[in-house]
Amino acid sequence: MVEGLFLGVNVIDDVARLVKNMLVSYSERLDKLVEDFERDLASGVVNVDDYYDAIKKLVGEVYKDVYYFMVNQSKNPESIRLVELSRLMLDFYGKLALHIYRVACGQVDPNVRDSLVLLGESLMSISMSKPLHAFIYLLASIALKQGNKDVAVRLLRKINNDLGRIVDFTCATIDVARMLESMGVRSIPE
Amino acid sequence: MNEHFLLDTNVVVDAVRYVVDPAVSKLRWKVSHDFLKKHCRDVNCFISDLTQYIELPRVLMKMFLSNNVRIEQPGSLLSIVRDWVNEWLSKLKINVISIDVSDYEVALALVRACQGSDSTSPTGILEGAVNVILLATALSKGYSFVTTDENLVCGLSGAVISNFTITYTIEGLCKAEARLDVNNRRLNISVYLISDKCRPGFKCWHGWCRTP
Repeated sequence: MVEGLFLGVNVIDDVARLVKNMLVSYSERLDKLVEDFERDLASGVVNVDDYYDAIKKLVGEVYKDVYYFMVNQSKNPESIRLVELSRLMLDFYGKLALHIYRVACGQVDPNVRDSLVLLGESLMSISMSKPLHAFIYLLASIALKQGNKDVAVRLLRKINNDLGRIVDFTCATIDVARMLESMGVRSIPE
Repeated sequence: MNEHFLLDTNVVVDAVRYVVDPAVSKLRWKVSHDFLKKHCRDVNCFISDLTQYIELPRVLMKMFLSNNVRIEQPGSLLSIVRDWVNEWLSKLKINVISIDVSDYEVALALVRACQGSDSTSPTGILEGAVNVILLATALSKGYSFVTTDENLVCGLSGAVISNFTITYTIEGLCKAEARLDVNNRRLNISVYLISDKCRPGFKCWHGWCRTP
């Protein structure tokens, strides 16, 4: 799927599936929640407050699982390897998010661009251990993809975020990076 | 009321570093990118003119030289670099404020307070003198200060600026409160430290940042 993303085939569908699959690995209950959300979107009756509460509850359960794991399994050598692998995966999610941003900011259709930026945000949030934000961004992205900007904006407001600012800043940094790259800059020394 | 932020040079550059060089991608770069994206709305993020005219051109010159960049355009190198800085700031929607002599007076008071304290000495923090002036400017103007300068934040914790309480928020980001009395005025702002050391258990210990 990641290879497909780099080849640019069915970009938005591939990225949406990729991000959803990654998040569902955190909680299978998210799968059902996304299904319900898509159905409600299609019938035009999304209650943003209910979905926010459901996500908060779900995140609480994820944290409980992580806490249980850390308390009971953290000294087991296998678990330590698992924790190291998780760190690598979180780093990978962050890097993949950066690639998604680049793909997103090159899109002509603003709805596709914004939806992809939010999928990148979702992965970035996972890489920064912010599952509440990750799940909200995923739902907001689905809402945008289905042309329901109002639901996306209201969901983002729940986590005190603004769609315009997120997209503007993300694409501005990508733009600066591309300008630098066109001059041959590959890194900015510290 | 919207919170206003004064950013140090590294915070602005790190946000771009993160996108330019994803292969390295340090936590500090990622958090800077995230911080600006989430907190800078409309016209509430600022750098100082000192950062615009001196610090950022210094970073850009180093970047050009280390990447073997050829500049085709003739003319004054400084003005070309300044144009670059301004284009960068305009794209990221970061504004510029001037540092006044009154802000410098606050910096003097800050260093004096440091000299009068038993627990800290100004020597360490003055290695990053520009950031001392930036913190003073933020205090003077009532802006929150966003920095990556661990030595400054931990160097000033304790008696120098009262109630410097570091609280863990997300990994890579610490929040503190800075207070300073100047000419019968109590100046009080938030300080955000972006550092790899900001993890649970973070604390300042004899002027240095420590994590378990």
